[in-house]
Amino acid sequence: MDINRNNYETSFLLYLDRELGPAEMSKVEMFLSENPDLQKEFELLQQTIFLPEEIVYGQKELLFHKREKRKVIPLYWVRIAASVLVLITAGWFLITNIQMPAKKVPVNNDLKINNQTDQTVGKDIIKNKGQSTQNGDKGIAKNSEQTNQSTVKRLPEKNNSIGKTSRYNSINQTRDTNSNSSSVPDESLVTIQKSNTALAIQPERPRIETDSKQISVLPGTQAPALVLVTAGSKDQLKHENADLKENAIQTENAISVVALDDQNKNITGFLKKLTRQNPDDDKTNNTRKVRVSVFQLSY
Amino acid sequence: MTADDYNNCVKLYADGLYRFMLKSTRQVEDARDLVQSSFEKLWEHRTEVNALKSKSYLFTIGYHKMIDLNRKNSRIEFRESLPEQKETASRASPRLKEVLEKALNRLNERQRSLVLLKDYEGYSYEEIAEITGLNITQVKVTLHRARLILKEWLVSVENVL
Repeated sequence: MDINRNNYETSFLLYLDRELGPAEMSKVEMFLSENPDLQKEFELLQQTIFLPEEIVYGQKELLFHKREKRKVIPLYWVRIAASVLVLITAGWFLITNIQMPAKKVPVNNDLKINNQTDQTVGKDIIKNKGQSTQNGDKGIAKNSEQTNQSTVKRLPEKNNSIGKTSRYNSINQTRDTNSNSSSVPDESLVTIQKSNTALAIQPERPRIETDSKQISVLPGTQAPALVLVTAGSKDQLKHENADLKENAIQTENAISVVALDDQNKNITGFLKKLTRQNPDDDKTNNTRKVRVSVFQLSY
Repeated sequence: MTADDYNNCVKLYADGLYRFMLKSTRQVEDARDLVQSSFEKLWEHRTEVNALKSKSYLFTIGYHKMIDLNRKNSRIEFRESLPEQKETASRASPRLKEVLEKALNRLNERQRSLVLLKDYEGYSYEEIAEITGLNITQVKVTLHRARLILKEWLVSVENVL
């Protein structure tokens, strides 16, 4: 639309209301430059445009809706609480599980020691409360205090000079004092192996060997000459001919160990149970049976 | 729109809607009530409203509520009870601002609303048409008449001064 002196007012207003495109705006500007006498009227129309004022609505808080937020916040905490509960439950279950008796092991099943090296390992087999230890071949072990829990492998009574007799080929086996051996299935052979830094007992695959009353030590290993094992309170250690420190005693989940190496030096560490409870154990609460667990020895 | 979108609308548009209502009704309490009822309706219909068009929806609600209120109260008479508001925009002459405020009161309800929607909120003719329910030609004609009234008022005041 061409701008002339009869229709310029509409064009001016459309221009001021920003309703024109760039080309039409240029036409208006061109017309204004060609008709300077209309500049005053253009400015008057320009002054009719209101500039925005800042007016604040002071009651916004009344307008916000927080209902949905309220739903979210509690759910958030419930979620955290549920997570914590799950973690606590899992932790409790884990601890409880570790403390439970280990998997049953055959009473009749003996353990074998391959005494192929100069140094022999005293082995330890943990028994249930009040159970005694027995010797396999050379029969050294004596019964520990019956009031103490889980036992231990012991030195020969007359052999208090630990380390002097540097080789013990003793074989200790934990047994069921009730001799309820028939109820226990045949099972595992345990191997003690010493690595560079730790003595690890690793279960081998179960073999059917009626004669295997030994714990085998792998050839070439350098196992401690003597291993003393205890669990629970330090009172148990009074019966040992070893100089134990309190801090060597671990918690109930682990068994403290003192060993003498061939230089007659103490090696302290702990046995950590790796096996888990046999589900059938619950049925044997009133009987005493031998149970052998697999441990990892670290020191 | 979600509840968060709604709350964002409150933050962004409550001031503008209140200004529009205040300039249109010139009554603080009426303006507050209209803003509150407009947002209440927006909240009720939030699931049907596109968040991108929430401002237009809000002003549409507000405009019609304001028209209804004015009709109900027959407040078409001239009123000059606007409270003073803090002004940030600077105009060449504070006197001109005062004159224009009075000139605004010379406009009828529709003219005033359209001028406010155009100048304060920056809506186009088409958007104003959507908000008010008028067609674009009506918007254009109404706005132009309002501008000419304002211009005549400015000329008359200048002649007096």
